[in-house]
Amino acid sequence: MKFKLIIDKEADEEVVAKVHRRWALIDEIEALVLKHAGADRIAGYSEDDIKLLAFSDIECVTVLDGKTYAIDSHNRRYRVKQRLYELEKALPSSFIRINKSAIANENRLERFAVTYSGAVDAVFKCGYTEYVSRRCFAQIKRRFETK
Amino acid sequence: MKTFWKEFLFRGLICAGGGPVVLAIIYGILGATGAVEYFSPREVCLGILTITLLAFITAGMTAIYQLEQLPLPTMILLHGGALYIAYILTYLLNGWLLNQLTPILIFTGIFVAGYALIWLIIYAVTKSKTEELNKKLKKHA
Repeated sequence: MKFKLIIDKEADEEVVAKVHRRWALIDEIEALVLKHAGADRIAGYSEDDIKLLAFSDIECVTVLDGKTYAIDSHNRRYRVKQRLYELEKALPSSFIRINKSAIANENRLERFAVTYSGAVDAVFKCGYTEYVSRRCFAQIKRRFETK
Repeated sequence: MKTFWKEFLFRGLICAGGGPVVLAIIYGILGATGAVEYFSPREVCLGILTITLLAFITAGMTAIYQLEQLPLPTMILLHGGALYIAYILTYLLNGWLLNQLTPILIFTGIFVAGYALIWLIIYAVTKSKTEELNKKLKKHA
């Protein structure tokens, strides 16, 4: 792999990676760039607190009763102002859709568990669980196969 | 629910034509083996219409699994229940099943066993896929 640096004071600053597939280094570069740009966190609201949640600290983003919540690594729930589709665009690619109303941080997934009803749950490192829809399960499977 | 009915109609219409094809094959076999010598126009018409409807419902009801907000046991109950009603009515209307307690109980037993077997297979397949995915997840952790 080559490293190419173009210094152009007229152009908008961006980091472009041309690779054959996504792998750990690419994830790190993406996280580093987002962190540097200050775009690696979102505001989370609890009852009497506002916290800037780092993407790496978010385990899952889910919609409950029409409101969007972020679950952090301590299994604490924070209300976020953005809609799920807006967050899906803003979050790094380590975040994957697991059902119509939830996005999971792949790096914070502990395991997948089959329930007795035949459904699949995503179990996070903090202990939080969220169901995985059949459609998303197939997409996740394909994602891991190409890794 | 609107999406469900749309999907129900779409899937049902795609597969409805398959019903009469299956019926034609069964009638053909019965005729070729000499099990049945002739069918009355009423039997043929009723057979075609009910089997078309059965295929429509059977295919359409698979759309229920698109409703993510419903718990899976509810989906299974609704799906299995709708199929059971559709099948038993088709069989009774066509005279393929005697309208008596014992044949209906035997039919119900076979239906439940068949349905349970299919779900056991699905559970086993899902479990195996999940275990495989967990291995990959650990590998990439």
